[in-house]
Amino acid sequence: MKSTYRFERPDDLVIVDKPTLTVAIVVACRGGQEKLDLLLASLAVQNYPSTLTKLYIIDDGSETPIKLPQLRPKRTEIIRYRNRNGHWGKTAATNESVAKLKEDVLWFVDGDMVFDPDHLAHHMKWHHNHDDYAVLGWKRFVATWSYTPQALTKSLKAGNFLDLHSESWGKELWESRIDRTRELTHPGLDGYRAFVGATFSLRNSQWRKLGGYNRELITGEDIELGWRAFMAGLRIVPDRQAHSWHLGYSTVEENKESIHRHNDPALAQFIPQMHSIRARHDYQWKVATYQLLIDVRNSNLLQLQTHLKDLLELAGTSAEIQLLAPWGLLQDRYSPLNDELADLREVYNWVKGDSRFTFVEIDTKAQLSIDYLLSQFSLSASPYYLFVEGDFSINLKDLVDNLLAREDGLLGIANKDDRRAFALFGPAFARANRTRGDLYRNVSSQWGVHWITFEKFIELNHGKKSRLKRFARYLKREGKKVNSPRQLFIFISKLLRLFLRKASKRG
Amino acid sequence: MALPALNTLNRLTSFSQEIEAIESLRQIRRSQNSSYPKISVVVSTLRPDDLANLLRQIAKQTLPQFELLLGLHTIDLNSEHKKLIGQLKKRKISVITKKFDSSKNLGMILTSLAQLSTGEFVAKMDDDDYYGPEHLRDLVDAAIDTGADVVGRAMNYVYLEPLQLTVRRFSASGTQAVELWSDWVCGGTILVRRKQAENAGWFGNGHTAVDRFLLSGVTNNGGKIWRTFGAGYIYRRTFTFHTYVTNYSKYLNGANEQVVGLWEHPIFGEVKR
Repeated sequence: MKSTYRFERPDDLVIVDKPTLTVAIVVACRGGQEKLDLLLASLAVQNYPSTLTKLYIIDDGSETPIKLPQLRPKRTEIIRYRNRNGHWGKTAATNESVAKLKEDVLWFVDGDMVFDPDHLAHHMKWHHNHDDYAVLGWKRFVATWSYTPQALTKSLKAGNFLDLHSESWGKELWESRIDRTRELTHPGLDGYRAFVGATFSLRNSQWRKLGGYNRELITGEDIELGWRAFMAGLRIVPDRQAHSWHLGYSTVEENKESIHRHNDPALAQFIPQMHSIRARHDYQWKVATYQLLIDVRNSNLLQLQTHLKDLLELAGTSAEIQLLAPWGLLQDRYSPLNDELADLREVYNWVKGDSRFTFVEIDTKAQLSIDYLLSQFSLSASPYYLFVEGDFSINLKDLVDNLLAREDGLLGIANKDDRRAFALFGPAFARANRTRGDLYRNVSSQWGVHWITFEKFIELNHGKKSRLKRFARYLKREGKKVNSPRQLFIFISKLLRLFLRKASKRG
Repeated sequence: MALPALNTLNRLTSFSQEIEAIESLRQIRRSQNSSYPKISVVVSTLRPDDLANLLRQIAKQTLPQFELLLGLHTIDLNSEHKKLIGQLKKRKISVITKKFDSSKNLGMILTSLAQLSTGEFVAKMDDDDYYGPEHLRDLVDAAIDTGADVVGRAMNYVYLEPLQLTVRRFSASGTQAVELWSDWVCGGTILVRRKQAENAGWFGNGHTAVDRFLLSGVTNNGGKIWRTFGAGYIYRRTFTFHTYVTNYSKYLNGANEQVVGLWEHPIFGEVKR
């Protein structure tokens, strides 16, 4: 399979003529038989071959057990998930049930959805193209519906899916995010929020690698799965051709306040990008924003503190820090009055009780290759991995911002004193890790590696200043040309045009 | 003299354009050469691993014949070196090794090796750089074509070991400019006419600046230096100790391209990762 570059993907995929991949449709529910009957009617008329499709309804302990309606896909199975202590709810029921499924692709749907007959086929065209997609169907919400499963079947067969509802609405935030990120090909760090559970599909192998839903969550599990899929470097694709109707309001919209009270801390534990929620209280979180590696051999406490202060400037962000140094030497006999390792010892004694820090032993003279540094990071759901030599005074937050803006896999800075720092993007690291071959080269070929000098870096981060200087030079240069009223007029109108252009760019 | 088509290339020149231009220049030069003069290669080394790498690169040189003089600065040949030297000897390349103790410096070693040599031209190679298989032959081709007293390469490819990155630098001026008369070439790529080098006092007897010593000696005596294209040679900037700063970051400035690892192309030979 061709290697993937960043989040790029083909824009000309069409429904596959002779598909080969099998797909398990998974719907987990607790009650809701009436909407489920409509869902099943729409699944029964999917154009993707029924021989490759099987529907699994996971009944998570419904009071009235789910019954199979007459109108349903040919191959349908109800999995009765036996609820017991610690084994209840959507994440538990889904993870345990899906673990046994052998189909190539898993399509997860909510029980209150009605799908266009081509919906699944549109998902599947991506999975036939590559194994690293997580596909999102397109959905609109409807307030009322009056059709029966039989009437629905008739309309769908007649090709009237889009005419089922004349009034519907999308989630504005959701749709504008898709627009803004150019269909999630430039997702920044917020793209994961587009991942919602109503209709998404991915390869079974990817589901397994991700470990399925987070069992610690009861709701919002789709958002958290989306974060991990994003951090794993999967390509999340919203497909505007995969139409669906969502029957009724979403649970979140109906009960905003209590849902937020419940979900905010539960999700923020695992999603570092929810830093504004984290910022409300000063706790440590399950997944850190930064995995930071610092060579502290030639530095001191103040330098370490400065790095952390710069990096964690934004409230609600956190770091897990590995400190590289010859820690073993601290065991040797010393006198506090004559301590050659005073700097290192001071660092150690201040931070050794703080669980964010770990200590990695290296030789005093070790030359740390990029390969070695990369090998020190373990895969996590953190979006950034950073390295810096302790005595390199560089603002790490600026480095991260530059990395995100450039969309590189790795952005490195080297200064005149031969000191290095780099930032590595989580999705790039994850994808490079699961690809065969050399990690650093994989990051380079799949995402881009770029090194610049510290001077260049400083220049980039003082853009405003230099823009003013540039403008001053421009005024001086152009002003010299003014030698008549006519020239003055040309000069002023030139300036006005320039201002207008700049202003409109900002707007 | 073959038209130095390459010296019109600049920052916008792509790698494939560069290679194309080099290949046509090479073809013109080689079509004019029926036989090669005798070449001696001098190497001073104090790093066993680097020596093994260099011997592998020397074994792949396409220049049909040359002699090799190895100055072992406080080190001994290990079994791997001996095996590689054995392979060179099978290729009818005579190898002379000479050991030097720590009282001798780089200039003394190179000068002493050069004096021992018998070639009409002497080439200096550095153990920590990377040489493609056409390296020596390209230098000799250029020397015959231009009639220069010294031929050496431009610095177009630099491997920054601490970043594991090769930068490609191309420009119509500065140390990156190619196929022109100059007073500077990369020290690890010097090919000098025996007579001119003798008059200049070879590499002197200093610890550093041995290349500069030779190059200024030659120019002071009215000799001429031709700088040929850099592709086929990668200058390496190694790790240094924290107390010894070299500012390798300057090579990132103005680089046309950068690639992770050593630049991979047949012109650089089979690069061992």
